[in-house]
Amino acid sequence: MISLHGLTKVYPGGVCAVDELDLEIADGEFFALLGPSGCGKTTLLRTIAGLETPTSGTVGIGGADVTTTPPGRRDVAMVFQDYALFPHMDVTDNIAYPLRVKKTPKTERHAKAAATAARLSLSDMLTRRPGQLSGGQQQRVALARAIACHPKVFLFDEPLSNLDARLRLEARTFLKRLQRELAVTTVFVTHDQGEALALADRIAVMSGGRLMQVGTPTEIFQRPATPFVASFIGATPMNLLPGDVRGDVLHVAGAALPAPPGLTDGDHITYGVRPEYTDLSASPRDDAFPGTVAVMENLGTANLVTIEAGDTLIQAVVPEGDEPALGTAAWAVPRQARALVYTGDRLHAPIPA
Amino acid sequence: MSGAANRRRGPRERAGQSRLAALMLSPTLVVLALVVLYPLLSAVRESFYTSGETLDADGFVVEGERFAGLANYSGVLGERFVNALANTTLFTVATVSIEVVLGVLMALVMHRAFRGRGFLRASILIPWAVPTAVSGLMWRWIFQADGVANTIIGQQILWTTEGVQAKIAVIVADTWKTAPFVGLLVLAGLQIIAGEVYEAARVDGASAWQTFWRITLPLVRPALLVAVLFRMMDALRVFDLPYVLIGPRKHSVETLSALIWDEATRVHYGPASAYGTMLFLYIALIAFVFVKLLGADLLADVRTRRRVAS
Ligand SMILES: Nc1ncnc2c1ncn2[C@@H]1O[C@H](COP(=O)(O)OP(=O)(O)OP(=O)(O)O)[C@@H](O)[C@H]1O
Ligand SMILES: [Mg+2]
Repeated sequence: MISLHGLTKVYPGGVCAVDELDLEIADGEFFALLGPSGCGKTTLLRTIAGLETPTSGTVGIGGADVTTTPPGRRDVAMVFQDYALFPHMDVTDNIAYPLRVKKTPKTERHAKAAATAARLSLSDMLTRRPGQLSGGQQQRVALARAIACHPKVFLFDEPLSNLDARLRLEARTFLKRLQRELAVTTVFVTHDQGEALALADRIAVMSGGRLMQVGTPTEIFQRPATPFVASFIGATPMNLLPGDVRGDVLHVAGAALPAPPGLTDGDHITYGVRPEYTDLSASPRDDAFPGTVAVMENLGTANLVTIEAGDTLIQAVVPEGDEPALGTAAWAVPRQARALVYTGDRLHAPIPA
Repeated sequence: MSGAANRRRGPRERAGQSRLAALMLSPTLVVLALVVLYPLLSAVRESFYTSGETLDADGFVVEGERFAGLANYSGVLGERFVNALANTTLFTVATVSIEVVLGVLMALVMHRAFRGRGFLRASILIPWAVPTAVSGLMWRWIFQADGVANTIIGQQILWTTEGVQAKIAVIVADTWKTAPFVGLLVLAGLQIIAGEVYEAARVDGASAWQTFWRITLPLVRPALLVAVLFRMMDALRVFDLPYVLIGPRKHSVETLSALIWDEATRVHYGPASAYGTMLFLYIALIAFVFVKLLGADLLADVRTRRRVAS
């Protein structure tokens, strides 16, 4: 178990990379840290590893307070964002290095290294040095080095960022299976929301050194707590439209929609609906956003249509064959059961049923 | 130019390029031949000739140069040459090995981030910047009978006379002077090691000692080897320090360079050239063995590292 309390990291230059952060990660959990570049993911991971000393707050691993414990005694394994392989050692020695430090006999650690390398399709390059490997291969060596020993915690800093799409999917499946087998608590940094949704038991969305929301992939995807999380999660960003409450009607971008209970007359709201949950109608409707078709992007099995409504853009995913013509008038119809209403910066509860 | 066109023209262009390269290098090669090859060859030639007045077989006085065969090399087996060779070798082995240890330590200290690091780096280099003649005199003063050295150890040792103590004095002074050079080259090697590599070792739980032996040292090896090569060749030709510190024609500190200088000042150009040739061969042999044993690896390391860095 990893527990962080009031964790703050201010770098010497005055950058507050992690800000008063509280987090509990359960034993054996696969936990993803998700957020835009520069939000403090690497810093948080390094603080858990012990490579950064927190400015204030505590770090606990497995029930013990390790805030001042050196990294080597925290029993964690880390994959660095830039791999940090040993340039003078070949792949086998790189993977076996943590075992060597732990004084594992040579034959045993070499066997272990070879087995781990095989699982990551590295068997053909065991005697090469990092300088003779591609970026993706180096990344897999870094991953192999971390998983060859059996630590209490895995800390992965974007371990799949340099792999091609196919390898990435393979490595993803491999990681998930490995983590299930070993049941090692894993913190996984990524800025790929698809990866986080696919892999994690729970996800934390970070921004500016703070946690915006922590929850299961389903929670995060279906009920993002803030407009920021809503716009960050999902293959296509959610439509977030400003609107007003008048009586029991929401007036949003030219549409009149039934207001959920609990809102007061005159409230300003943000209406959120995913493009996947937005349909197009060719004829006028009261509960739809009127506009003209401005852009059409092919997604393979569907099209992403962008509608210009005044100065706001609304996106909708339209199945093959139903594409409207560019420049024609269209009405974007939100599926109200899937829509979210934010007042201020928070999700308004209850959600429209 | 498009990539395809480039590839098609490849071989011809490369031939043209190497011709251009040869053309542009030729002035340098000519100058090198003039100032390096010619003196070298003429010294070797000189070592087979003798000059000055002698009587020929018929009792006539002859002047000028005459071919002497290997006569000039007869001294190579003599006690003085062997002694000078032994001194030179001793100084080289002793100073270079002490300097490597001290230089690595200095580099590790200089590499640490702390306040006043720039000042420390500059001051560590002072011994290297001082002219050898000056530092030789300074150490002579330190090593005189009532000097600082004797005061500190509370003994009355006549450092600058003949004997083992003179050898020690030379080794101490030379080490003081050139350890900073090794330190600086090793520091340059340390600075190109990515910090993350140490962090990875720390997370793995490696001790400071393990990190030094398994990570730091192998990674600075190329820089260290270059430093050692330079220093070895430098030490094998040492002349000035023993001369200034102890004096000329001192048996216990006479190096090959000093012996050659002494023969030359006494107009024994033949033997001087012969010894010079021997010294040249000795240095060339050691450099060759060094590069053969360690050099290939050295170049490979540098290449790999450059790729990792890019
Ligand atoms: N050593 C440092 N000194 C000062 N500021 C730093 C240092 N390292 C990171 N920062 C700053 O701290 C903030 C968080 O950085 P961090 O590396 O944790 O971001 P990240 O979420 O991992 O980003 P990315 O997705 O780009 O890797 C950034 O604003 C960064 O500029
Ligand atoms: Mg990062």
